[in-house]
Amino acid sequence: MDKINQKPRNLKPGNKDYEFWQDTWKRMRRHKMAVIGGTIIIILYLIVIFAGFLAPYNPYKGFKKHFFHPPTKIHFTDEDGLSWPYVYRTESVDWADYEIIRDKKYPIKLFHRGQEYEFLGLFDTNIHLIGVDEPAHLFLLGSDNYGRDLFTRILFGGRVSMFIGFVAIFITTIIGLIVGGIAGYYGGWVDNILMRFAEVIMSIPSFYLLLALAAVLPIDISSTLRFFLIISILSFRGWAGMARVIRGMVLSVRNEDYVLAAEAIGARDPRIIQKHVLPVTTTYVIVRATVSIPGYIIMESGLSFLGLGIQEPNASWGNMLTAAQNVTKITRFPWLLIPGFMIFFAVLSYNLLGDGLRDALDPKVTDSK
Amino acid sequence: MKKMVVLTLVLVFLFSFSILSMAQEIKLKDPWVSEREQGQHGGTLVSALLGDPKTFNVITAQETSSTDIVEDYIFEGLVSRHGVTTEFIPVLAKDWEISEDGTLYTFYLREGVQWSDGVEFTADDVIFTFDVIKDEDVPTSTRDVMMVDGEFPEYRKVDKYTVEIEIPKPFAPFLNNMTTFIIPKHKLNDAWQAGNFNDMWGIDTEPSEIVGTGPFTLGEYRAGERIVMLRNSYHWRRDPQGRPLPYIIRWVRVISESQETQALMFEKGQTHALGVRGIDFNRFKENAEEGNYHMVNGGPTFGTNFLVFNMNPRNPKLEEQPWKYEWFTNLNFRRAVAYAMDKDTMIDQALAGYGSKQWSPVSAPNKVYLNEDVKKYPYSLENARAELEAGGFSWDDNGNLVDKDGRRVEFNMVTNAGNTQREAILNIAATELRELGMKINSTPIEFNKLVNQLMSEWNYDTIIIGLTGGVEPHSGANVWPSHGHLHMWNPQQEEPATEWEARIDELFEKGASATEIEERVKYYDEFQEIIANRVPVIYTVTPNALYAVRNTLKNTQPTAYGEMWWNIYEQYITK
Repeated sequence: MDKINQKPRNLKPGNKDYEFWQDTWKRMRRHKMAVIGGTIIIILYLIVIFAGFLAPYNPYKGFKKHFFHPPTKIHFTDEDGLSWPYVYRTESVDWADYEIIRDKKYPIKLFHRGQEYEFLGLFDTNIHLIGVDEPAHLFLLGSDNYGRDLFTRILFGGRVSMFIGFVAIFITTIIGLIVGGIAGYYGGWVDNILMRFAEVIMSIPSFYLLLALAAVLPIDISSTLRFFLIISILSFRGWAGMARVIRGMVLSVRNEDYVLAAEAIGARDPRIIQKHVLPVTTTYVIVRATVSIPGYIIMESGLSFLGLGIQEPNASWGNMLTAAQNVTKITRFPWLLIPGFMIFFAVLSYNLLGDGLRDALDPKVTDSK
Repeated sequence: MKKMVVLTLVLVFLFSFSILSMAQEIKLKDPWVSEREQGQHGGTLVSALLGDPKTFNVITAQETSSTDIVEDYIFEGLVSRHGVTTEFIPVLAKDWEISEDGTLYTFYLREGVQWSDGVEFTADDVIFTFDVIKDEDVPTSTRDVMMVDGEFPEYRKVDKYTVEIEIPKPFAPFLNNMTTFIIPKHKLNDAWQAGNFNDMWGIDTEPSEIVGTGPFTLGEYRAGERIVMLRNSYHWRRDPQGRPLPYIIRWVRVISESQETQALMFEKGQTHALGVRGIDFNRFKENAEEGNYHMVNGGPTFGTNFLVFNMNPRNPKLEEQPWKYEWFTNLNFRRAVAYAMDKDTMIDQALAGYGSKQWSPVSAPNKVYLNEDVKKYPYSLENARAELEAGGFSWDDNGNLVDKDGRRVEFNMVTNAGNTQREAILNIAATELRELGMKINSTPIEFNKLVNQLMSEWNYDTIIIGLTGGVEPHSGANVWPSHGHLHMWNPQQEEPATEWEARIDELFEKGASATEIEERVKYYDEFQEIIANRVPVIYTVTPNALYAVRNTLKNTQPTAYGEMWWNIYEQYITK
């Protein structure tokens, strides 16, 4: 006896949905730049997620006597030729001027026991991938104004920068889909009211809203939470643009045969919208999300530049870059600009990926291309 | 033929002009003569300004962006303080006498000083200036400063070149008030009589209308671009050869709000001098020869940076968090925080190595009144922990600091955003306090918001802020006595809340009425000891006054007090 297949969708070869995603993946893979971008993004996310383990130090730990320390030189050879990598300790001789003391070699230790941190929020540990014993320091990318390890802070700062966009996109997408879907599907006065409302929302000047918000929010909440709040509130304004596009797309499929058919067999409106109308917008939503994440990364750095974003001592790429706003710092301590390169790479990779995704998801693109 | 007519006209014009000027011949009897080397006349000086002026009216001007333009360069006082020694020097008054009982001041004016439009400066101008300051309708902070015992001093003209001022009781800081800038009666009297004084000499005034006695006059003002100041040819200072000063003919002051831009302008050779930030000092020094300039380290500045605790029982937040009042009024707690200030690191990281530690409420370069033997709190977390224990605090299992009721010590610490030095001091202080197990919410906030919290809302926890400081300790009379508006930790008290605050009130009164400097020093020494002992405010570090001066600009002597341009009248430019 045949059993009724309860699963609504069957992602197995032969299924239409499966074929669509498989084709997309194929087209995607042909897009070399998008693959590179995607790979870099995946690596970046892995790095920031495992920041506590990969970073040699704690992001707040300042070495008072080693501020503006240049990247520690790692030696791979000694008198006997190749050797296990090691470093020398340094001592401050003048302001931000350091001398290498070659009295002892400090080998770089794998799974070094250093400062405590919480591994993925699960348990406390003090094992770091690499590290050196005191009094030597392992500043892979140098140290900042307070003697904090820049590499460590880039990894931790990336958490904020890389994840900040998700919250915003989540909120904008949900509201955008609901409002756009309803407006497009029902049309008439519902459409009219919702769209006029969206236009009112769109006309709120976001910059002044931000300044006002920054002044109103209490200072005893953590700066990351504060920033998430600002971003979330901003995204309550940002859904309007999305809703307009969704509404247009819904409007165009509203009278397609399959929608009318669903209506004819008595499906209820919410179901039709959910099952037959909104899936049309999937590709648009995916592409839009991918392309707007870098926007939020840039926005975070812009806000930190104005002093409204992530606050010291917390790190984000934006506020780390703010520390390099001085000719002296840029010329003498150029490693302070590295967070800027991280922003650059992340944004570029996201844009490449977004480009590739758009091409791959576009149903008009045929295999013959 | 036409040429002849023109020539005749010109001759007639010149002739009549010379007759006119002869009729008005005013002889300068008491010139001041420069003792620095003889310079060359001519040249254009270029420097940078941080902001646009709001007014050219020196009486109503409040913000430094306005006073930086008019004070000392366009307008002058009867007396002034020397840029290096900070002692009183005669300016428009060539001399003065103080009666034995210290209540009658007689000023003898320089005879034959002219305003920049050629009219003679006399005792009438001085009287007019005091009239204006006394006028309740004129918004000026000078009036409050001039008050002695709640009364405006009596002033009268004795003759054309002598003015007498009588104050109700001896008040040593009074001479300091005579640095007030004198304005011309012949230009402003009508407006003042008509009640329009406050609208006079705004920034849209025709520059030639603004008339002063100082070395420069206003030539041109372009908002957001530049201010051009021109040599006042009637100025009363003379070079060693007896020719009128200043040497410099044009002084262009470019307006640029960013210090970074100002530094770049100097590096490109566009300006003659620059106030350098600590972080840039070494870089500038290395390029000094190439850029044809030299560096000057003027020592610690008068400005201060300190942390203040809110000990105000009227703090509206105390309803929810009454324990914060208990912590902040706990002397051991305050001392613990004082011990946790790592000033060496602050100098290194916030001031790039160019700064000094401060322990006393009197500014470090104030050699006359500074008490160097006050209680000091050198950085030591052990001492801090010991003080906390003595104050009834302890640590829980996680190393968090808790008070005697087991409540976690958590408070906010803010400073004004945009001041990178203070932001760094805030970060360093907060890091150390976290090390002690406190939870510190530290963030820079907007300046106006900060001032509101400090001055009127009284709802802050702790603030890192600074005061300008000065030579005369009595200028802190709005800060230290318990009724002061700026008595930050508990302002405008009707009765002093503590015994030591009562003692400070007393000391300030005695210090003001004593006439002998030694006696005054004694009172202000005790005041400094009390503040250092009770630490209502914790002093941090003071930056040094650093300058880069182009070698073509001569006779300069930048100091922390007089800054770059205090002797602008004898500075000159070599070709």
